[in-house]
Amino acid sequence: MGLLIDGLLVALQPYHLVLMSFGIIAGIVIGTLPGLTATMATALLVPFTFHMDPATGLVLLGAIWCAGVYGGANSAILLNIPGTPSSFTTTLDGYPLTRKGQADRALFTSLFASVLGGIFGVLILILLFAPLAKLSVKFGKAEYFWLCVFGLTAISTLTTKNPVKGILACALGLLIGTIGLSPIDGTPRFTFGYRPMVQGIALIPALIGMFALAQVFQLIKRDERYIAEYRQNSGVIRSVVGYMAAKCKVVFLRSSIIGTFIGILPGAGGAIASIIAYNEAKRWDKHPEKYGTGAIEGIVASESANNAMIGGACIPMMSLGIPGAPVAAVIMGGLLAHGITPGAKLLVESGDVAYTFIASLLVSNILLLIIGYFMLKLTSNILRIPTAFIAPAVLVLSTIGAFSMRNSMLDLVAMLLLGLFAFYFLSDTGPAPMALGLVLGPIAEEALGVTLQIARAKGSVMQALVLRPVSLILIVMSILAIVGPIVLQRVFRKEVT
Amino acid sequence: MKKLLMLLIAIALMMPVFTEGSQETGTEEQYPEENVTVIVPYNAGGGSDTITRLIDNYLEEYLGKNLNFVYRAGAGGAVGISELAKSKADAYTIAASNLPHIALQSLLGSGDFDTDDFDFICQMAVTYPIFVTPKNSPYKDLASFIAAAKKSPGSLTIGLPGAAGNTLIGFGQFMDEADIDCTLINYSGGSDMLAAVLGSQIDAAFSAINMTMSNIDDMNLLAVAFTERDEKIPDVPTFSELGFKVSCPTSRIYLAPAGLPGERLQILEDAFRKVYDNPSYAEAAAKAAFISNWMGHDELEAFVDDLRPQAAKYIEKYYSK
Repeated sequence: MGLLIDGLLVALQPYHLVLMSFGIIAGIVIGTLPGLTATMATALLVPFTFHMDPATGLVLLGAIWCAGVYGGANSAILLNIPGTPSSFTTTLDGYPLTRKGQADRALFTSLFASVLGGIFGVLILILLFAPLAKLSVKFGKAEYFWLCVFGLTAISTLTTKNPVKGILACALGLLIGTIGLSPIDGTPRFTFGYRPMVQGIALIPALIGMFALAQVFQLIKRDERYIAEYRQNSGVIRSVVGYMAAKCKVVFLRSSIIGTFIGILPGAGGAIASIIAYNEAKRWDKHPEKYGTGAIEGIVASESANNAMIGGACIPMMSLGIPGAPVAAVIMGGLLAHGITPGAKLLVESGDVAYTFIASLLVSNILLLIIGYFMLKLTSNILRIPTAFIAPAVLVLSTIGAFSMRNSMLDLVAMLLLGLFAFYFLSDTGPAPMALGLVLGPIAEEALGVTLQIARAKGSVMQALVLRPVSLILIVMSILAIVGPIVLQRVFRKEVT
Repeated sequence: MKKLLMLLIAIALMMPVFTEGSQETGTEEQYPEENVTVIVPYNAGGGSDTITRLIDNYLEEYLGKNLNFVYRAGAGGAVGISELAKSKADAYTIAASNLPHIALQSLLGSGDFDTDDFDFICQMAVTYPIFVTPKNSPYKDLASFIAAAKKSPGSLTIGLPGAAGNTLIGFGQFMDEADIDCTLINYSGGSDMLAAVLGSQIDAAFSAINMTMSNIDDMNLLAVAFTERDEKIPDVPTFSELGFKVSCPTSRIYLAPAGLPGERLQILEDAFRKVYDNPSYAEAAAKAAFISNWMGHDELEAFVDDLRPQAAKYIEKYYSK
């Protein structure tokens, strides 16, 4: 505890506060721009932190991380384009609110949910550091596979209008995820003899195509002067806070727990956190039909989960040297470069640095609330810009973002083709089901591959894949998620007739 | 007016032709006349990028020029190296790379190149795996692991941190040398595999030294898969001390397209060597957890020649079921 207070005092030094503020502004901008992610921003900044004090460097990286994950919601809400993969479920309710002229309501909700979720994750990090670290490695590849299957059941939530098409789109997403090198033995697949295909279809350019490009086409087709009517609603903060305090406590708590838990699992990532949190929010709500039409609860679920993920992802990174998210991997690289080895001894040997970092995450979230408030006034002005300027600007930014991932022309081609595909064929279901397949497919495939290898050694697929306590729980949950609604519907229909 | 504009544009478009011509006439002694482009076939901020940037800090002193960084990530480095293979052999484009990865990639077909397509400049650093078992494992030393593997062939699992990497060679050597049969489990990254070891999901693993150090108290270190012991864990024997010729380092190397003109390969090798010998570089590299280990051009070519048949053999044995 003493170390934590010392860390807090270091984090509150004016120099650190200035750096954090800079990091937060940069993070929000980067998060908002489609294609530029917190992972990229931190990776580019790591070399600069070599010349800083280790704690100072970490404070800066942590601030960018928190703000970057939050920033993704801005473009998701205002433009229907997720700024980061983890905010793609935010589009589902954020954008409908914008279309209704309530953009500021959605933006404030996402800011509050992000900050509160972020703080929740850090508090869990402080309180349950050691036991959760142990738990994170107990989650084997078989469990990852079933977690992905459970995540795939969210398809029913994401496609209410045309379920058959939604399932097909999801399957196509899964299929696209298998292009490239096999995760198990490194052999190329579905490359059709075209060499660059070996690198596979990267997630970010694909998401940019499906969301950003398709949205640009949509805006051009709709041919309206503005994206949505912009109204500054009076007393919006009070009404949002009031609504969240009255109606969203359970959603917030559940989503933050889901987000933190998914963060603890190495390699799962923020996108899965927000998908599962959104799905659960809808499942347990008394009025699931309002989701997708601009439900505040939907934004709360998605945004609190992805920011809570940060605290969770720090747990295996700091205690075991296993990064729970791509940004955590970058930050870990920064630690190593300073000669600090994450792991069991980190809190003992470099406790000052570690606790400064943890405390700075708390401070960053509070700064995010203040800076985010002012930035929000600025970003909402996007709606005052005519579509004629927005569409080309998004097109240029998307192209830069997709290309800069790997400097690969293939990514641009993939972005364009998927954008056209989503525009022509997915206008009624939206790109979310296909994105679901793309996000979960590669993780599920790798997990299944590893599990089957282990099954070969143990001589039993059942034992390696199915007959494990957590696996069984996830299987039952998946079956209930699919069969439950159908059964319930039958039962209720009988009651009516 | 329009015609004049067209003419100006035409002239502007022809400019690159002239500049290209003047470059060709550059005389040999002056290499390098401009900065050398280095392809980093991974993301910015990764290990290859970090060490290359460290080298770049000192290279200007010895080469007279700096490096321009180009990132071409994808397919475990194969994308960037494929691009190098297509580049002009003028020593103005080189790449950072890893052995044995590029040898394996050329054999598996994930890279559009062959190891013969390159002139190897040097090796600046190595990293190597430690053979580990989970803390609660009954196998606390190599002998007991081998005994158990002999008793029930195929039933023990050994994790590798990635497909087609150095540990495939180490795994193959170990199976051959100890005359045992285990099942290899390919993870998609070192941290994934580390989680599997800590959670006792697998029986043993080849875990990279840096990642192992983070959790040194939470697993049993059985043997070092390198020719020398590691100074951070001096009590852990090497495989060869225990009687098995298993050594599978990852070499951080620099290479160029084959057939560099004149002395350029030598100039590059000398410059890298001087960086390697600079004590302040060595200190910075050690601080960033790189294990400095030099191999010059000739030594490296011989190393690759020795590696290729082994790589081919183990790919055939373990990846074509």
